[in-house]
Amino acid sequence: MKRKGKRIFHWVSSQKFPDFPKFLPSLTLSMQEFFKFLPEFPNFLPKIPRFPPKTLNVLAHLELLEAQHRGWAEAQERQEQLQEREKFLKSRIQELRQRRDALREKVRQELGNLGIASEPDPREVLEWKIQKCRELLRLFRLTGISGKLSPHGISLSLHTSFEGSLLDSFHLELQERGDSGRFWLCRHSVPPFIPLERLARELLPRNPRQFLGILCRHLNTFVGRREQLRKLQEEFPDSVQVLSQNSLCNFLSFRYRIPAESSGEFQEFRAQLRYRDPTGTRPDDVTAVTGDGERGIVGILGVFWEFWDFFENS
Amino acid sequence: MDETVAEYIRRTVLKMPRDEIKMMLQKWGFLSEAQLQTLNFHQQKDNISQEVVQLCEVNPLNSYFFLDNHIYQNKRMWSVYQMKKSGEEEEYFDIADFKKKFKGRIRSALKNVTITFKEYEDNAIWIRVAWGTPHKKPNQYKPSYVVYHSQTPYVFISASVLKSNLPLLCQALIVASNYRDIREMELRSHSLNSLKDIVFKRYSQNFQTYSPKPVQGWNVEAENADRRIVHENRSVKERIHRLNQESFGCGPQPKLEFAQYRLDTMFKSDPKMDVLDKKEPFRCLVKFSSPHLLESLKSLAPLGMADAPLSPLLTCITHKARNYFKIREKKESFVSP
Repeated sequence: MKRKGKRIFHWVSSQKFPDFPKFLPSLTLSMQEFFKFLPEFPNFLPKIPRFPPKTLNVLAHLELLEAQHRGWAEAQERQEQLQEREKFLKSRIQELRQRRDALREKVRQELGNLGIASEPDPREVLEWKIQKCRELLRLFRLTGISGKLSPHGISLSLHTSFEGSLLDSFHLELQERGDSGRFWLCRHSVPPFIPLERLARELLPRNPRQFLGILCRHLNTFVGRREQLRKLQEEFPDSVQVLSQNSLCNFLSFRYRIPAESSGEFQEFRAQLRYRDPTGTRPDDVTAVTGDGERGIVGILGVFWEFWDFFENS
Repeated sequence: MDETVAEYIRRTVLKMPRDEIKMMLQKWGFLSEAQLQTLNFHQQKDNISQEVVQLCEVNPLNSYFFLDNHIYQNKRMWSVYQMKKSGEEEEYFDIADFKKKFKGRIRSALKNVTITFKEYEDNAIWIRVAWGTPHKKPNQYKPSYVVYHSQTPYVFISASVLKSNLPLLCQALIVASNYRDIREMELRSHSLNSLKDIVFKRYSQNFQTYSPKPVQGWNVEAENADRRIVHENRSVKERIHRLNQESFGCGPQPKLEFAQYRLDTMFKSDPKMDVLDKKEPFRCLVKFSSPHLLESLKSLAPLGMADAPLSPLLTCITHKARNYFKIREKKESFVSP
């Protein structure tokens, strides 16, 4: 029966609604995916999502999506099964390996009991060799110079020491320029009062070994002088006062106050040490000046050489 | 004692915050312990400063000018200058000679200057110069400070407001220390110790060694104290941590306040978009500022705000010892000398 006026459509049917399958995914596909199925959707239309477009049969489209997703779900299930199998096999391998190791141990013990030496396992020998190598590389720093290949070049470490105790470490990074075999200095952690640039300019392109040797000597003697100064200040805090020092510790002056043996008073004198050669551990020049002129010089110098012996033997 | 010096000491003590007066006077080291004991720190600041002036009149030494050193140490802007050798190696450094030459050079150009020296234990020589004109007395409240470590080519200068005296100062330094030339490095900061660390290579750099100390990996135990927390991106985080350590090293970073990049490059874009009609270099100034710039750059990648590894323009600040850059179009190297 038709009604006049507005036509209102009601969905009346004798059938039930189609039975949607249970694993229908939620209908939030991206619009791009949706348009893939539509033949040649015009590009100039604004991208307002219109779902579903009136030109298609909704159910047919839904069936298409359902089939696609069923395929995906099956693929996922298959993959999950494969992963489970993989896990199971891996754990089985572990188990078998453990059994094999236990049995090996048993065999070795039995052979040992019988007095027959078994052949060493090649894998164990290799592991032992690798471990030895690693330890050697770590011990190398005790020689004073050690290095390691880094992605940027060679990274050298110079470890300084004085009288058997390791002190500061300084690092250099060298890079090779082209194939010529010449190195140049990239980064370093050497303090600026060591003449590193001059040495690198003169020696590094021609003779890297000599460069390293001389640099090592500079650093070791600098650290040695600094350490001697520190020890002197620690051992004799009352008798010795450092008047002046410089960064390289090669120009030092002290003031000594020594109790004289004969009278009970203190005698003061000053000394100046000058190390001309930066790679020398002994000073080249010593000047001693006392307060009361020349009379006390002989006695004073005797005491001074006592201090010097301390220097030598410490 | 000179009127101006008394006035200077009085004013400086008044400027200090009350609870720090005792510590500052102790650090100054000019008054002995016994003299410090006689001071009463619970009275008005006016009276304290008067008492300090009276005590100072007893001591004959000349280093009273370094009183305001510790107060303003981190408020001054320090810049670094590098000197070039004349070519000969100097055997040793004589500090008396240095002082004499420096004073002589400055006094020969200007009469009314006050120059004071002080040596500290880490071989640093502090020079304080108060400038005046031929008609006026030296202005004690706007001095220039110079810090020099013997046998190094670096000088740290905190210029006062009176910039016209800077060339004379530089010349005196070259003459006194037997160098040929001096130039300003593009490195400035408020913290003098950080500048020294950068220039003397004392900051922590990352060098590869076979040392027995284990590499500080991302400390899982500390982070994962609660077993209920599972870290999903552990490998990603470890990779970021490792790359960060390679660029910045493990230890604390020197303290800089800003980095400035002056760009003079062409704008590179998709040819279709064509933002700029003219093919001219695009000039702009990018400035990064922070209370502690290098620590904040180091924490950018772990916090997820930037990709690791960071741009080499940011990580080369300590290595190249500069925080003012000029970037031009790439020919060979991108940073102007």
